[in-house]
Amino acid sequence: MKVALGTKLVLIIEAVIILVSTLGALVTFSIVDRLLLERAQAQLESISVLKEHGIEGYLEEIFSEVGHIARGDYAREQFRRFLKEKKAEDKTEIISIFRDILREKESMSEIIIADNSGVVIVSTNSESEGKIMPDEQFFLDAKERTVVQSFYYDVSAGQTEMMGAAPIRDGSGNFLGILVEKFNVGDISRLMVERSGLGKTGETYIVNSLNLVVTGLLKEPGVALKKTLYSPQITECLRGDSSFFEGKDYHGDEVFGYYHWLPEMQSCLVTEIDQAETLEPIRELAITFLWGTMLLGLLVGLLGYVAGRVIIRPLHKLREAALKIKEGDFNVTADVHSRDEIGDTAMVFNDMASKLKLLYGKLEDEVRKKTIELSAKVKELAGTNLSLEENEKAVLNLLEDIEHEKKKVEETVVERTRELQEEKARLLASINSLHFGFAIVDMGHEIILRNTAMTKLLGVGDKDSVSINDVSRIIGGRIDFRKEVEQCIWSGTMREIKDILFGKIFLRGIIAPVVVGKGSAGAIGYIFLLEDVTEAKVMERSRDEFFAVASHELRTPLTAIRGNTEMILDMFREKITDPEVREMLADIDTSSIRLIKIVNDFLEVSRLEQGKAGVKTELFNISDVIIKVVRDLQGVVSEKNVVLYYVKQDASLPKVSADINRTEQILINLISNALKFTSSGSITVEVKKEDSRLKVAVQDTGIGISEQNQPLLFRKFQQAGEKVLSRDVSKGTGLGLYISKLLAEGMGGTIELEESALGKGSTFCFSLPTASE
Amino acid sequence: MAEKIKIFIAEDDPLMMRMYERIFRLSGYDIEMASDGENALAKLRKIEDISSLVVLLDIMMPRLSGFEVLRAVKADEKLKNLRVIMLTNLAGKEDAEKALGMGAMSYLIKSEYSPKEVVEKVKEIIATPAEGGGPPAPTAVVG
Repeated sequence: MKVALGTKLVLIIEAVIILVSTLGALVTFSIVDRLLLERAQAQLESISVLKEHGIEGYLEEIFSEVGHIARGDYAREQFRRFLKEKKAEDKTEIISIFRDILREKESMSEIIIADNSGVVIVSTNSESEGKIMPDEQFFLDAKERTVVQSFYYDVSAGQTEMMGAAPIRDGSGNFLGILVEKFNVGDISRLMVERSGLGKTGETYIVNSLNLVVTGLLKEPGVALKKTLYSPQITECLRGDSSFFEGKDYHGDEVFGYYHWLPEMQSCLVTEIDQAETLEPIRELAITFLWGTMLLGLLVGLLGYVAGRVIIRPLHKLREAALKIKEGDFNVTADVHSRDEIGDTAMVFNDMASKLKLLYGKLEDEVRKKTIELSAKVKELAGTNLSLEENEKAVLNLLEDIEHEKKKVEETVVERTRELQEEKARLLASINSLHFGFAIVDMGHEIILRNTAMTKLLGVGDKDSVSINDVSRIIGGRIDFRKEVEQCIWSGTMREIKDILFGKIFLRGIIAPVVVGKGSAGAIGYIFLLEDVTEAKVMERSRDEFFAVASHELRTPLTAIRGNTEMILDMFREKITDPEVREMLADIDTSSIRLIKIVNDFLEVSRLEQGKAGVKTELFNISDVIIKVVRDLQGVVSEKNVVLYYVKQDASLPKVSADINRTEQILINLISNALKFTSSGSITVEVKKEDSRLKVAVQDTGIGISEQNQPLLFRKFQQAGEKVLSRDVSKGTGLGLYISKLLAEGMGGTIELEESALGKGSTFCFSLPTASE
Repeated sequence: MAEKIKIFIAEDDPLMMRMYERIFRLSGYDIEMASDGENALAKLRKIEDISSLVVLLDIMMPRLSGFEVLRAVKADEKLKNLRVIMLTNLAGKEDAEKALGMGAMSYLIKSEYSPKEVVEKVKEIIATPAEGGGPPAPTAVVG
């Protein structure tokens, strides 16, 4: 914004004036303020001293009054006689004297004589007689000397009073009793309320040692002896320190005050005046000052305007001439004739203008020449520009192409997004239809997708985010799913966690890694399944119980049949002379053994089918097992025209990882089977190493198995080449191979018929995993 | 036989009881019998000298099962060194492991042995030093 020179001048002067006057005002104010404060202090202090004098005078009057009566000649004789002899006529006389005094002294309300134990024996108020002086200390003091008690509230009189007391003694100075006079405090109150020199708001009042205001208050009339005041300055004053105060009074007004300790009365004399009244002069001063400053400002403004007109006008003319030159008009002179610096400047300006006029003429010629040269250059440039424009067009086309491509890509993205959303909806619908809990979990262990069954199983809200740690926590911390997950990802295989007890239900958990590429490094998350298997568990349990009972109940009578038969045959053999009886008993024995075997097979199958084989994992040497079994079975084998042997390899074999007893069981079973179907020839056992397994082959030279029967071999109750009704029951239940198959598979192995030819024999083999290291 | 062994049979089934009583009696042993778990435990607690005693303990018995009797015996300061052999028709592998874990010397399945074999087995078991090798594990029946 452009500001005229004159205005600037005026503004500067105004600013200087305001600055100076403000500074002056501040200094003045602070001086005046201090002076006023000092004056207020002096005023308050002197008033309180004056009032103190007034009070002291009053107290002295009481002193002399009491002393006068107590020691006055006119009363002394009667007092002494009465105190010694207690004659009624003396008392009557004393009371009449006292009443005269009371009539004379309006401020006195009661005169009392107490005996040397403090009991009132004479009083102008008959109700007081017989009572004990209430203030013991006062009484004790009064026995010694004349004393004045400060304000106290006389309950019987219902008003505040003061007491003066003096001892009564006989001629030789012996103590007889005390004389007490009660005064009402009207005089002191009047003295307090008297407000000369205190202006409109000033006042004095007395607070006694109980913090009770004993005289009237200006701002709260009628509260004398009803109001207590507690403030730090009053507390301090009642401790004996007089001080000046500046702050809020009992009424909340800002005041200056003087708190003056009155030792005689054990009270605080407060003299206060409102700050507003004290500081009134400053306010007046401020208003006057404001007016003054405003007037001065106006005056300076006016002066500035006049000065501007005189000084600024020639400058304006000069400016207008300069503006014309700027627009190209060099035929101009500044019409300024003042004889000062501005006039000189105008002359120099005019001279400069005429010189410029000459220069300008020359410059125009030069410009014309240069313009012609320039237009030639421009033509040349136009050519160049054309090719640039073509380039620009090419770039624009390219951009358009890109834009087009981008649109296509965007459309594809939209399309794919929709497809993905549909895919997701389908996926969600299908996983939601699963009866077990299904969740996809990321590598940060947060569940990113779960079906309703999972939400329900975990008992979380639909929108709650759940991590695999939350799952462990919800299920009760018995299973650390996080740890299971780590093992699952590390091994890259599915993990099953069985029999998770969660409240009243049983759960089965499955964790399977989701891998992109190879190895655990390619894991991008995992699938977490949770299934309620309570019902299956209950079924399983009742089946278990059934089998346990059946096992026991069936076997016990069978054991008795077998046991007793064998005992007869064994221990009473001599007594059974008839060979037929002996044969019959032997048949009973054989039948019972066979029955026990069938029951055992049934139970074994049932247990294995339930996956309750109780298969251990131990490391052992397969050769040792084969050698033992082959040796154990030699006895059975030797009954037939068959040889059984183990074709031991020279190369050392790795240990297998399986259940040693179960392995033995499979081997016995395969050899027994071979023996059943081999009437003569050989049974050989061999071990071959195949990758990470050992394969045990049992080869016989028996009857062989027809091709059509081969697929049925490992089924339940199958014996090769036999129909149900024409089975050879002596050869067993037909469960042997089935049990072997369940056992081999239960140990992570396999079992199969390797080859068989009718009339030539069969080779059965089973494999077991070797120890990984 | 270096020591005079007394056989204590805890068995609820009279068929079994008679059979085992007979074979052990005929084999020359002193016999003591109890027809249920509670009865067995009460009788065992009354016997002064348990050092020559071998208990054949059935599992499925009324009132107190063989497992409970075994637990009580092993918890009893006086009875804890008593030699106990389980003689039962419960053939589950877990049951056998449980009994052995609780301190039974051995676990015999009745149907697997003739009475005479049971006598032989018992002889064999008590001849095996209690510490070290431990009782022979029950053998599964081959089908």
